[in-house]
Amino acid sequence: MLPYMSGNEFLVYLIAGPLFLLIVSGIISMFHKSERLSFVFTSALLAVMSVAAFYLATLGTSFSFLGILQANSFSGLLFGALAFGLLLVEILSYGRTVYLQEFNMLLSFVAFGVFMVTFAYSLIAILVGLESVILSTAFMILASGKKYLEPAVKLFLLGAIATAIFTFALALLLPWDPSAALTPAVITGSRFVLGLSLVLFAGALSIEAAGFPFNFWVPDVYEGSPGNVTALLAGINKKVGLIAMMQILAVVFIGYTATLGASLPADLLFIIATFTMFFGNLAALVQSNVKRLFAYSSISQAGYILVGLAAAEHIATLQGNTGIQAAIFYIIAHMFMIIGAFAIIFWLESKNINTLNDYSGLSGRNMFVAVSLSILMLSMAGVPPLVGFAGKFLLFSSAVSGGEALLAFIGIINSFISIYYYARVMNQMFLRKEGKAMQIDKNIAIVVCICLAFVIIVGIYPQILLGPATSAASALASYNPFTLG
Amino acid sequence: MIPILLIIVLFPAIFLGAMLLSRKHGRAIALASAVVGLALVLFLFFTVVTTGNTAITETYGYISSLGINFDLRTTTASLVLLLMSSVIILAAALGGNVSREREWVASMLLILFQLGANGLFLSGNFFLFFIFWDIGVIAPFFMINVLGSANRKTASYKFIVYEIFASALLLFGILLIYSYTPTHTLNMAQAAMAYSSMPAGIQQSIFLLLFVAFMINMPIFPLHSWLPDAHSEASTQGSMVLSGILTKFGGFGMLLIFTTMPIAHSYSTYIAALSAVSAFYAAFLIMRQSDIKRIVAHTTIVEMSVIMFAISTMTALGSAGALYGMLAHGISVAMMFLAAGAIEHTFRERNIGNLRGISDAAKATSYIFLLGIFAITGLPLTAGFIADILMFLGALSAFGLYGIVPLFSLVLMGAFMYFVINKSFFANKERTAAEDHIDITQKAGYSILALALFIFGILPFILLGLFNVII
Repeated sequence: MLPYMSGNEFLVYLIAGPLFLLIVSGIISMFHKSERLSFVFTSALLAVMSVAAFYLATLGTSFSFLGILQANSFSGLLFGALAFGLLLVEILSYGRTVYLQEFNMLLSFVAFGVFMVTFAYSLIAILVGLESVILSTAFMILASGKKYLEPAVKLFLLGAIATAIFTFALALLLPWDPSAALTPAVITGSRFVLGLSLVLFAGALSIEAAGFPFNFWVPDVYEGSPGNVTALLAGINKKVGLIAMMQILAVVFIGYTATLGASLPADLLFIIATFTMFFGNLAALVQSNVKRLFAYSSISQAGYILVGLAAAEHIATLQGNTGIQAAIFYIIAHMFMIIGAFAIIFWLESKNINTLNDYSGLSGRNMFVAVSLSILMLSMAGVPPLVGFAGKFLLFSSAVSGGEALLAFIGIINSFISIYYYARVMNQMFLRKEGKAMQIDKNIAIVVCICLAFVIIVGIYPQILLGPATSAASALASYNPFTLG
Repeated sequence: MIPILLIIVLFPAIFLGAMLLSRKHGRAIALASAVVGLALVLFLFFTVVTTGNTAITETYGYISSLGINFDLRTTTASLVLLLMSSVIILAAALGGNVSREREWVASMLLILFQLGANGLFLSGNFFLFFIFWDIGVIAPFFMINVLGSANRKTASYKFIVYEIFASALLLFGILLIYSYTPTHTLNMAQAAMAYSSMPAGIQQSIFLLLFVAFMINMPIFPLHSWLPDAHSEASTQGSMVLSGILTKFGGFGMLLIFTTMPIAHSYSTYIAALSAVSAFYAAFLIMRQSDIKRIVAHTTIVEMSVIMFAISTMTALGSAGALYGMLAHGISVAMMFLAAGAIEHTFRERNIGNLRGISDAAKATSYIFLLGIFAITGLPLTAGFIADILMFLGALSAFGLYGIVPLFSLVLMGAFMYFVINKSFFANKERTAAEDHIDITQKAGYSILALALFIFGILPFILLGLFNVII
């Protein structure tokens, strides 16, 4: 018999197969009583997918399948990381969710959406992926209890609006890119319609990625949702939006700058990034609810990633684009930081510790939690030798060398502002105060330890992640059927 | 060939690990780390002196995608400051925590700071410089915030805001260096060769960004206001390393940019004027203080301003004097903070008006404090004397008689300090020996620092031999 499938293609089925099983098992588990079985099955499948995807990332090959999907180091690295993030969320949720079976089924839909976006070779795939991520998350909020109706409805409505805008932008783009493939659009004729399409794409994706004018829902939904879903929203959902933004703005519209000399994409991202950073950081300064504070903090972190995208647009060539590489690095780094932080917040909210005042004297009650949260916050503030610093160094250095020095300066000033509210939380935690000692739950401790290990190890030796991120960035560039300047 | 620099930079990490395993022996582990640190630095020093090669470099692969290596190097400045910081850390580990409160956290932070200081002084590229700079800022932040005295929260806030602002400017300067060197390098030696070929505007931006960052850290008027709060509210160990070592980070950086960046020439006169103003301003501020730790903290501003003045002469003598001045000041100020900490612990009192003659009750502490004043005012036989001679000889050659002017800020400061110590230590004598609680380890801390002051004051040629070429 002739071999009808190459080894690499088989690898894709090693990812897609468990995904299919995950969805099937999710649906079956709804009619099944055992929570433990569902948990074990879901986490095992997520782990298999994650490992297979990381292996795919190391191969360095690139091939398309099913016409709308493409497997390469970019998709492998990002899907592997996000599937691992989903695994962390699953560990967090075990034993703390009312309807765990339904939750797991919805989690499998999120995994499917992540798969579609990271492996996308077509804008249609991105649309399907985004839609399935945001809608299933809205229902995951509901699956956590009846009191969470309000954030669920908010997220659902915004997801619907994002989809509508996205579809319209796609329709405007189609004349220039009839295949809707993820390749640089060939630009001839009227620039206006294409510019409109670009702005609409940026708007639609800003809703998910928490970009400035469309991120007012973020604090409400993050605060209103249970902590594990907040971790999912900040760790996975937002990253999916940013990945889509990277693929669409930095790949499809890269030619906009190169052929027409118009700096619209770079300027647009410059404005969105600047306002997102300032909005997140300045609003976080005055928050008294810690979860809300972290919601604003995660908005500002999205702003830093947009700095990388703005630099990528300004560089305007796909090969060796340091902006894309830095954005990929920071997307993964921030996923670990924010999941770790929300894991701790999730646990504390079950002890009814919510506001900054409740946090006072936390170090006396549980030293591990206080120290871990401090390390994660210092990392988000960009203090070396933690991973946040390595990421910010990459982002801002790509901005300076890409000709966006002002944006880098704004970013640095923003990280300086952010230290203030992180220091406020630390200040409260390390107050000397008598309090009852608390024992941390095992599953929370596991998630926090994994995130901390990542933050410290990759922070000290960033090459571990930077190497894969570099090859992922060049794989994204190879989507390009023809080379630009 | 053993990788001595790498060992010196990384060995505190091993002790940090040991710290996590044992919560009982914090103090012993910190002490062991300090002893090992001093031994290694002395070995390095011995190697340098016997081979006559002050520029040892070591390079290891680090972030290959960005072309950033793990570059370590020694220069005259780094050797001298490394020696100083090892001595201070040993004294702090030995005698710094006289009340034995929260020993584990205190020792942990001390080792963390040791990691930052060793790494900073030995770093051969700006990336490592920045990383260790921030480690050196975060450890003292917790020394103030967690271990400090009554107003520690406000003080630590002020400290972190100023210092992180400094590191933000530093980071931006470093990014500019990275993108404007032709080979995208952060190596200090390669960057030093590339500065002159950069556009003038970029050179100016880099210089000013780095200058302001280091200026906050040193600190120089008008960006000094974090220092008195931070230094007076920190734990004794915290004050010792803050004043003794952390302010030298800025001095080290200043020496670096003034000796490598050609653009510094066009600013040096203004900077000299600013530092002279700063010295006098702080000298007058001292006279308004009544808290003994705040008084010592303000002497740091005076001394560091004079050191900045010497650096801005841009002469070999001035730079050598500045370096010697940092050494002498670091050791003497650490000694005075150690004594001030003992006074606070013994008499529960920091206000000089209420001390009322402690010299009979606490003999060792009083005389050590007096020796500290001698050293910072530059009395012969102490290291401060050598430093003052070198600095003002350099200033004379650069600015003529105007170069002598900042000397009078030292005189003003000295006059007030002698007045203070006379009134509150040696007059009245209402305190009795029964109140003295300090133990032998504290006295051992005193003697290490005092010994170092005399060794570098009486035998200056030990170090002066290194100073043929600065940096």
